[in-house]
Amino acid sequence: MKRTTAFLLSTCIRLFAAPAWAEEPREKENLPDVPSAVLKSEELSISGSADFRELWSYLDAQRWGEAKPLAEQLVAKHPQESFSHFCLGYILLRQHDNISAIHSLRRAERLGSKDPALPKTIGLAYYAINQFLLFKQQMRKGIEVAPGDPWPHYYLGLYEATVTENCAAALGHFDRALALRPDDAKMIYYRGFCHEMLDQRDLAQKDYEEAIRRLNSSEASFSLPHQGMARLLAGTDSAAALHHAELAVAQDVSVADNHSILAKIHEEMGKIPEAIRELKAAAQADPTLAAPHYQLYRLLTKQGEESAASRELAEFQKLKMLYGS
Amino acid sequence: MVRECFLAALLCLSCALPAARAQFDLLVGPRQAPQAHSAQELDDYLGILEVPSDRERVQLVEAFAQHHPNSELLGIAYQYQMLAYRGLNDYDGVAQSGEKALKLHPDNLNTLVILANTLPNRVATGTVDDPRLAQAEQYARRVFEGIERMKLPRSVSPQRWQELRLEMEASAHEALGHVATKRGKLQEAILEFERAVQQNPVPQGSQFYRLGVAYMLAQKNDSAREALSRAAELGPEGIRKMTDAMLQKLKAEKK
Repeated sequence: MKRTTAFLLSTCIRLFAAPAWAEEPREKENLPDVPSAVLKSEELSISGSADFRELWSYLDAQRWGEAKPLAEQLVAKHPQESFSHFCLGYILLRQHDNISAIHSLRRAERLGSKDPALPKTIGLAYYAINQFLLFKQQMRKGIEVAPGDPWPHYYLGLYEATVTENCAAALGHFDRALALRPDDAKMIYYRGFCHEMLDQRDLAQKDYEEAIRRLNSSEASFSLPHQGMARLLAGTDSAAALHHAELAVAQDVSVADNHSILAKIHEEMGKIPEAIRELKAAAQADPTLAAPHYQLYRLLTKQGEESAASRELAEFQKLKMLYGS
Repeated sequence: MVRECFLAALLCLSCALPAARAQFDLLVGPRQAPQAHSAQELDDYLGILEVPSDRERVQLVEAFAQHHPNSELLGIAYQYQMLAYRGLNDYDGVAQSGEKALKLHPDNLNTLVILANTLPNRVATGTVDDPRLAQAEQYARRVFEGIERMKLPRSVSPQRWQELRLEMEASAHEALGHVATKRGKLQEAILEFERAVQQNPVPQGSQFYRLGVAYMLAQKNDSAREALSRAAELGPEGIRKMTDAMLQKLKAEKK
């Protein structure tokens, strides 16, 4: 569970974007903090140009593929303007061209950009290439220059929860982020997750329930609070746990842990074929996970399916050797 | 003549190793990733990756080592320098930068594979006790051991790992074949080169070329022709030229 949550967190911090998003316009990504320089560029000398207005429309629509050549043109026309480099760097980051993004963002920094969104954007680019010391430096800088911005706290929280697995430290960051943005369902969920990891189950449940309430009212889709509820309730209230686990799977079938928790609850309720089906879905959703194969081995053995069980055991042993768990 | 051509060709052989594709290290998880301590250090490191020419890359790594002697990124920088020297066909450069890289990352499989394949190049065929051969053999064996112990980051899928593993093992077999050739143990060399070409999921012209030459040296000319033809198909151009020369030689011998 912790591992997959960590994976999700990590995916999250990598700017939430699937590669295809670089190609086609989709619903708004889960990144509400598009750098303010991009959105408030009327302060800049170049913002009145037709080129910029077109670029802005692509940025607003998150059409990175079309925005990039325009940003490159902007850089060519205004090489001394830090904003043009910032803009290009941001687009490159959204396209997962992390190293080019770092070059552009650093150029913006060297040209003296004072934009408060620049440090956290560079920080995210560093995070994307696993440069965590620099990431932390930039996020701290981001907090200094924009004390009212919740996002550097949030990213630091995600970092502590995923990379260092220091949930006590992560909790502090999420608390600070939530003090600045109290209604954010994801921040509430992640704070709850830290509570759960610290064995503060009541506080975790309170946050998960609150996150679900906020998500329901916003119609946004985010499966983890339901997964968290299913985890907390499994063993004490199977029917409620089942309800949450099914909602989690319905909201996001690609999350292996959603299937694993549903499998666990099915097994607790004696529904072995359903549990097996969900474990197979978990293994398919994340082929690096060893645990679902062990559970499959166990259940298939119970069912008397010896050869299928031994295949699962072999797969479990192979994956455990390769990935450690 | 065959032997001379073979020796001349060795420095030109290059294999497509995963190292060349990784910016940091494909097989290292986020928590183990070496960290830059300053933005300038990272800028300098990224400069190494992006410079277009091998010669400049070699120089940039030297400058990096001078400016950031304690950098956690230095080991990978030396790997890049080793690859650049390989691109320049600079045997001593590959050996020296490879050793520096290994000193900092003793179990790095890419470095071990490249050194194992490079070190025998300057050893005359028929030499049994040259320490470079023993060293190359040891490095190749460490590749097999390292693969067995490898703990993967989850960003590398089991399928991708299987491909990488087979590629690395094929390169290690190639190195062992190379060592055996130098020691004059042709049967052993053929066996290792055969393993390399059979195992590699991405067939390499260089491995077929080496197998072909080993067959030639063992007077197995039909097999040699077959392997060399495959090498010519696979290329790259340098291999194709060397292969053509060998095929001409075979043709002449047949007459």
